[in-house]
Amino acid sequence: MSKAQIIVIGSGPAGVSAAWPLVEAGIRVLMIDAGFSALSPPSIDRPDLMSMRKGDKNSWRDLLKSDLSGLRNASGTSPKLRCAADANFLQNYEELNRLETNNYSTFGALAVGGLSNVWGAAVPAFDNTDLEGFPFQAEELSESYSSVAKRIGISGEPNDEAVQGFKVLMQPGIPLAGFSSAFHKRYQENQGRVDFKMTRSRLAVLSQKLGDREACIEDGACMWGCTNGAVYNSAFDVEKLKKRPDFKLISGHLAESLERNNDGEYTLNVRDRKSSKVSTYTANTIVLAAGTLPSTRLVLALQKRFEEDIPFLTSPGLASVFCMPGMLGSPLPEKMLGLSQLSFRIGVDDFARNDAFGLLFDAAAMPAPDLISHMPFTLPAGIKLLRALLPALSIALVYLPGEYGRCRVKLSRDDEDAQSKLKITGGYATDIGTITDKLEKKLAQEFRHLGAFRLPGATQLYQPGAANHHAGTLPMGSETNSFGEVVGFPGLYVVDGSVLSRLPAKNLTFTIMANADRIGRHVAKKC
Amino acid sequence: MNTSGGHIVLTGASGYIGRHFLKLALLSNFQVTILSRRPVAFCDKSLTRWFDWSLGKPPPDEAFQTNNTFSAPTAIVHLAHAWYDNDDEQRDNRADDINIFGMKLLIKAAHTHRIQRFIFASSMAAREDAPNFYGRTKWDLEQLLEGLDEVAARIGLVYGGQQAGLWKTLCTIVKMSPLLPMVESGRPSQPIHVDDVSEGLIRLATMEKLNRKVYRLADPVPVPFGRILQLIAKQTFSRSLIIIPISFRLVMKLLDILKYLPFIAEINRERLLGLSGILTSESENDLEDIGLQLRDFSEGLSYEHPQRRRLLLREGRVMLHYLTGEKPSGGAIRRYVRGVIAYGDSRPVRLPLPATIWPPLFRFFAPLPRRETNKQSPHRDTLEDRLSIALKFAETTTAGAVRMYDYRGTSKFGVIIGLAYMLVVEAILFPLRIISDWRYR
Repeated sequence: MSKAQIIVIGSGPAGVSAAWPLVEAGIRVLMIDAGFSALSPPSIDRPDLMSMRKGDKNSWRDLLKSDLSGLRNASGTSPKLRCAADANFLQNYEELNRLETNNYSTFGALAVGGLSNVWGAAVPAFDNTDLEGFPFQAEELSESYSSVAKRIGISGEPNDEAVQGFKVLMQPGIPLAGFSSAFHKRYQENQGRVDFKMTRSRLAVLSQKLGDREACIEDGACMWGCTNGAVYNSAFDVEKLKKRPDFKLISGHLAESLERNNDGEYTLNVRDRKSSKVSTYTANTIVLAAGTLPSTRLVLALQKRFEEDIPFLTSPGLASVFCMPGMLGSPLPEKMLGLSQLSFRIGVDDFARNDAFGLLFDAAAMPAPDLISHMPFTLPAGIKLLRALLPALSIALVYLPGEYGRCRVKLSRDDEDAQSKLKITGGYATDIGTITDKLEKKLAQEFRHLGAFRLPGATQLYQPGAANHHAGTLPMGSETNSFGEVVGFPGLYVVDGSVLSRLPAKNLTFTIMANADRIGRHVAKKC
Repeated sequence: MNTSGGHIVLTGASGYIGRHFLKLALLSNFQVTILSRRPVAFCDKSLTRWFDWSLGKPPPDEAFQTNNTFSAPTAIVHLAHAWYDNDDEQRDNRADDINIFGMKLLIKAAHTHRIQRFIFASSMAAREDAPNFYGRTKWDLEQLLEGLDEVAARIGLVYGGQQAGLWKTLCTIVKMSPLLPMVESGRPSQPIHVDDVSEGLIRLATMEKLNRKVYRLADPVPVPFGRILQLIAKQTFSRSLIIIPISFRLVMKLLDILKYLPFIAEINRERLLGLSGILTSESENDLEDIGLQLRDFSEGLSYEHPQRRRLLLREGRVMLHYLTGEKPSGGAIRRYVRGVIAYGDSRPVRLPLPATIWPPLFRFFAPLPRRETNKQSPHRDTLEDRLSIALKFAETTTAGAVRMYDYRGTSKFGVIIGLAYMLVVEAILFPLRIISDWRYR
């Protein structure tokens, strides 16, 4: 048994964001993570996407990897999961975290850096409307937004607050290319629509060197992983933290359960994933950043809240494909950013807080096989069609606010080994069909206005959970206080998505990071 | 080197079962002393040694002795069997049989060198009144096992692994023709995978205490022989096989007549008699006694094949040619096979015949899109699954990449003409695809 001043569980974006202010304040931090290491990035001399697509003798190694793990079936998820992640990346997440799902897809990674190893790096901030229902002043968060932005490096368009939320320090945006470039130009010429606002995406991708991380080289192959660290990964911060004398990382150890004794001290039972041995760590302060579902299980088990139905928030996600006929026949861009280049906000309801948020991905940077297999033609025809359409296509990924989700978790005791399991039941609001129809129509209308047409039959509502925007099992203001401290369990702070009081349609990672930073500062002050 | 498994003296190592047994024994860290006419290829001198011996000769004493690397043998596994070329050689006086006195010599040597465990590979056909010589011989041989730890393993119809022995014959038969006239097709037989046989023999060689004299190593669920052939055809070779039953008596009569005609290929009466003499017997308890769980026959078959690789290579060639419009390179085809083994179910899928002759014809048989894949089993790949794998490989070839990505640009007019042509072709193809979809699903 060993004792640390503060234990942080999880090395994802939330974990490192909470750890930084603690370490800066000179507090000894022990970080425990289930992953053995981060996902290894592709070789620095990987050719750019255009060269990879010349069918070079070795391009199979770059496109499918030497172990051919790029052949894995990724239908229903991002092709990035097959192209960039190795075969083991998403393995065992549910089993080891004791999650059981019903009509809900979870994916998570037991890797240092968590899902930030493969994320899309979209970092919109919340705004005052988004933060309605949070038990603190918006200013409290904006300071943390700024400090996180400074640390991770964000690029984007100036004056984008109407879409991207609070203003933060930004590097200039990475040059637009292909569909996005043409579409953005059309938007700027035709502005004036009330319910539709678009800007370049705020991305945690460097357009200028930051510390030891290089700027984006626009090689287009983001789907296959970033070679030079331009795309932020929280594993980078773990490496930096490891250099600090007050910080220690224990990797390959999964947090299994938490206990609290009469003195208010917490005991964390941790299983070594290699030897299966269980060891314990004690501390008076625990910072939970294992990810919404695993953290929820740990807290509910500590509270012994078995068989209690607990609602949580999920953003329904919708994918739609648009074509700009004006772009047909153009050559594919030689240089481009392979992540989302544009983001938009679109009203679907009468309340601003119910706006949907969307990201546009140029199909030109996507692997063609994943798009072809969705077409109702023979493959040679599909290949031909996509070749013609590819420069003119964009995939819109649109999220609705968490209010349209109807998901619940319940902690169940497994009789055999007295270990608990978190059962997750997914679902959407009954009127989801009406809302998505409305959203689709409106999107089509807005895009048509800008010269892009929706491809028929290509719109798809994801299964609950597949968009991976979930939060709010232990919301601040009810289950936890305004600093994510679990009610009745002083010293136990939750800093990941579980504590968000509301789930707007926006990507939430940046807000989770800012909130974790905010809580980290608070804890540092208290210690 | 971990040799905790023990030390086995093995005869018949070059035979069908022998080769598989040897491989498994070495994988399980056994030392093996091989007694055979020709040295068997082996890799590790600390695990195997070879002595020249043939059935009927006394085994050399050195084979049972210890030395620096080899510990004292703990068991003899006797798989060797002498076959006769024709009926005439099979004497009525069975005492002269080389199998019998050969095994006597082995047992004697075992006693001399205090090796108690003796495992003899017998057959499910072993019966005192077996209609064929083989069955009767195996029965006689079983009677030689007198010691407490001397047991017979009655092995069922062995399949799988390298194509050799009876398994090779079965494979040849099912590939000959889609129609197979056959005697006694309803006669039940109890199959067992060759690796399960090896596992069973190893257990018999190592179990502390053996409760029985005879262990039946065979599937407790008998399968009619005709069905066995059909399953091999279907699961291993993706072919269909129709069995035409023929009367056994009629064939024997015909054989009697044919015997007097010159220039007619010899038909092995012994084999036919063997077939008619198979009786099934309860094996469940025997298997349970040694804790051996057999793989399901039908499933076991589908992982088989030396043939599998050939079919997968053909599949890769056809699919990549179909998708890229060019003959793929050998490397691309081999990668396809590697990919199917690693990320598919590793079994060949059934291809439309015309596509195997000229791959672009595949388009006529392209599966129709489906909202939900109605897979028979989540573990079986469909044609769509394989096409999806092939498509990812097509992207990595020069011809495929040029087909998929346009980095030079085309005139809008060209694009529109191209797409219109494509739609016309698709419309013409559609009715044909409906027909083939029904046919090949």
